[in-house]
Amino acid sequence: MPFLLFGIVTISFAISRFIPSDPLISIVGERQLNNPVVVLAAKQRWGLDKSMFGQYTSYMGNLAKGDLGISFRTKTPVVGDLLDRLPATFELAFTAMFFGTVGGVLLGVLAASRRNKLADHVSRLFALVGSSLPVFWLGLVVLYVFYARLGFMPGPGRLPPRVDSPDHITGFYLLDAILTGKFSLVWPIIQRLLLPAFALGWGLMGIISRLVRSSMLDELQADYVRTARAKGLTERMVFCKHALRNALLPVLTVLGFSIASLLTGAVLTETIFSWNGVGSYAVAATRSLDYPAINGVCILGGIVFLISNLVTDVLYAYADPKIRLT
Amino acid sequence: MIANKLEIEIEGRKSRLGRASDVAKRPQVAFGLVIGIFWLIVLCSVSIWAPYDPLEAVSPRLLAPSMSHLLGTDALGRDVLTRVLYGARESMPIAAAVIICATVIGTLLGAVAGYVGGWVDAVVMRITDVVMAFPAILLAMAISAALGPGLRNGFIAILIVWWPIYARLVRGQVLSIKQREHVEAAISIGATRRRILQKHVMPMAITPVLVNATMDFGQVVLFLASLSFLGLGALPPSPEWGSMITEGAKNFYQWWIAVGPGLAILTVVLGFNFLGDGLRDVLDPRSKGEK
Amino acid sequence: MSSLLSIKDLHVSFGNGPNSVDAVRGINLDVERGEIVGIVGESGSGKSASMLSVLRLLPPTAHIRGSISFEGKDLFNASSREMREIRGGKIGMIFQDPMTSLNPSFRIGAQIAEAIMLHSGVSTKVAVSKATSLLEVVSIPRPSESMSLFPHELSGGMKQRIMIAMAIANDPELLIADEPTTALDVTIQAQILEVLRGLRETRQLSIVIITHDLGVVAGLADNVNVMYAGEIVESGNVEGLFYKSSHPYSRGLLSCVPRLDIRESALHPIGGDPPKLSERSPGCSFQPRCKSSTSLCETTKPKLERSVSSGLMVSCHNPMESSENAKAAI
Repeated sequence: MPFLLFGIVTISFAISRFIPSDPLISIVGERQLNNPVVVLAAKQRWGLDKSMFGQYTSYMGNLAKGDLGISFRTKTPVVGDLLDRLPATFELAFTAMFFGTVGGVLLGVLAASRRNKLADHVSRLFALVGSSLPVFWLGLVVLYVFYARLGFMPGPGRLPPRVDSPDHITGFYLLDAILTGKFSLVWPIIQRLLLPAFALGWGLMGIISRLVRSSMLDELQADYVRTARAKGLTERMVFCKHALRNALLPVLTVLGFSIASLLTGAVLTETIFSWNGVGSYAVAATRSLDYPAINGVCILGGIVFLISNLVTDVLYAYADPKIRLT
Repeated sequence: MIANKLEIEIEGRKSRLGRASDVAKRPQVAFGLVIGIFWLIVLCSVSIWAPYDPLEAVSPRLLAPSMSHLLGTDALGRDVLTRVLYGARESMPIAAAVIICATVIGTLLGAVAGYVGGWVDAVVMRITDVVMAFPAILLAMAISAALGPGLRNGFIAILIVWWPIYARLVRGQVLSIKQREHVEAAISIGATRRRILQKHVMPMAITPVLVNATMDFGQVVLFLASLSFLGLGALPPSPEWGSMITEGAKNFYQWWIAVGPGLAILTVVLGFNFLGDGLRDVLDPRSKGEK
Repeated sequence: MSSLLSIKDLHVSFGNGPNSVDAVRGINLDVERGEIVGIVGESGSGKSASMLSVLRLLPPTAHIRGSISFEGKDLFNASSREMREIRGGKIGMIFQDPMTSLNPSFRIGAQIAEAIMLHSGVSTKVAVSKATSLLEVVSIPRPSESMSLFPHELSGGMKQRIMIAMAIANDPELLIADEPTTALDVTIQAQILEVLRGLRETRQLSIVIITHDLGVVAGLADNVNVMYAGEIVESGNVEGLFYKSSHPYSRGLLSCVPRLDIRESALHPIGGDPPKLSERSPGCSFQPRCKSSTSLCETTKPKLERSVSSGLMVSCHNPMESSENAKAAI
């Protein structure tokens, strides 16, 4: 684990230093490039006057202090930028995870209970298509259909136009609105979460529904299912209480890894939905060759992966009685 | 004795062909085959029969679909359908190249790591761990940003992201096959490590690699489109599907610009997914596929 | 007719068309109140399938015909709802492999309480206390603490006792035990059989015990049915079977058992293999392996009839002399 962390930060550094074009352009602007005083000051300020090794050591030193540098584009600390935007992405990712998991379990159970019948084939196709669509394209399509054409859904953005965000407590608009009593904002916020969360969550729904289906079919062969029937349980109870409980264990593992792919999806969909999260920050950083920001986003990605692994292990250990007690 | 063995081998081969034709009749696999053949034909011959030139403005801009332009025209007056068809030439060869290189590199490293073990294994595993810890898109974005846009750099970025998957896969296979008896037998008669790897271990390890590679082809096309969508990868004016979708986003109300490329990507991903499934069933029917 | 369970002319087959398998080919079986009936046979003799069909626990590919009645009422045509009330209610069943027959994710107390609450509307609290006392009945040590254990924390023998506790939780009239001791050590076997015997004493419980082990039957059953290839070939009280059996298969089974008291150099297996259940022959199914077969045996199926000499029901054209059996079997 510690090695992984070390590897992540080193690679991020290496990549961001490979940028061939001169970062000075984005820092001081084209016009000032000829002004040696300004250039020197900038170089000193951003550490660009040191050797590669020197830059690496100061990078690692700063990292230890929790300093990711200052974004070339926004001119504010990267750490601050990321922390500002993290709640938006998390709110989106959690909602997508919720959709994906609940939808996936329901679909998977449906498919398993109606095996090889029409409902099974339809839900499997639905799941497969979800994992095969480009998520950014899906975002565009749902936005077009439900907003531009049908007018059911509001347009892109976390809030209605010209409306201020609720006072910042958690950064999760939904929670903040409830906590500060601005209940009139609750529904508009939820509405605006629906389309992006759906676009983002459909892929996860596909993966989970296929997993639940095959896991259920496995469990239904087990001996304890026969025992449950011999006790006089209804088929529904056998299915939903006994078999499902065991079938859901593998889903936990998938959920853990899905956090990384949700982050990926966020990168691709946030710009479409004008969502001011980490994803759109990453896109803007890449476009403007803002290497502290790129570096910061990469490190964030790696850390999210590590944390999600840990969380999955803990959840799984808790859920599987065989592991819990050892 | 030898006659028996030959008979069994011939029978084995026959039934594999027979199996292949059975598998090919299944609707999903048939769909995959149709898609694969369709895009192959497009790839090779589109310049002969395409209605227009993909890079030239031929009509007024932003025309809705009509008989002369089945998918309408884009913001520069180019025929969208032609561009969608030519898009195959942008993404699919690169995707194939990525898959082949990633498979070769990954297989080599994974096989050696798995078979030799020790510090070689440890080093290779650590590297794959670190690379796989990044969400693929972020890593690819960072690399593309560092190297600059363009399909060639996109190729490098995706290759770096993709090879660890195969290294891990092959290593796992080699580790489990290594334990089996026929390998022990070969060692006991004094076969060299290289020969064992080549003749005894690899043929069995190859199947999942082939299956995965086929299914991944679509995923790489999708990934490349994602990079192009973000402005990395393909550069305008090339008709890559991802950058066409970006254009479609800019002209949001002209839905026909983005629909074509999206559907094209969908068919490729689905089709090769099914093909991979079918391939798995032909090569190793014992393995647990979809039930 | 006051039999508790009465099965008449039961046929069970799986699958369709030419590849269908006839697992049970017309058997009649009666179980009286307080009686322990054994069904003995090899794997594939149809013994499990016949009893699984009583509770309708066979897979959907099974075709069942015949008549099954329980407590005088037609069970064969009962509705799904009535079946569910009977399963775990009036008829309990335990199975062969205790290691996998309990749900690994729920505590055993909860699983037993579930069985109780399903058939009587009592509260959780009452169900839990009843479950605890059931654990005592089946001799589980420290019952109240054991209630919160998970299945993987228990040994095979204890798990099987939990299964028995679950099956008798609602005071059934009949317990069907499908090879309950096959997967257990011999010493544990004895304990389980002891539990079952005790239940018949204290609760007037009727038991159908399915097994391939003659020792189990000898120790437990009142009456025994020997099954071969889906049919009952000999049936009657247990002493009669051991001392006076006349069907060549039963005799073969009895002499298969290795003896500690008589010095013999060779074992006496029954030659040949059991028939494929997808094949049907016009004659006796045991005929290919039978040393006393005649040409009649190949062409005509024997019927189950009472033998005058032994008092048992036998299905054979050429039953063996019962006197030969007495010394060999003990």
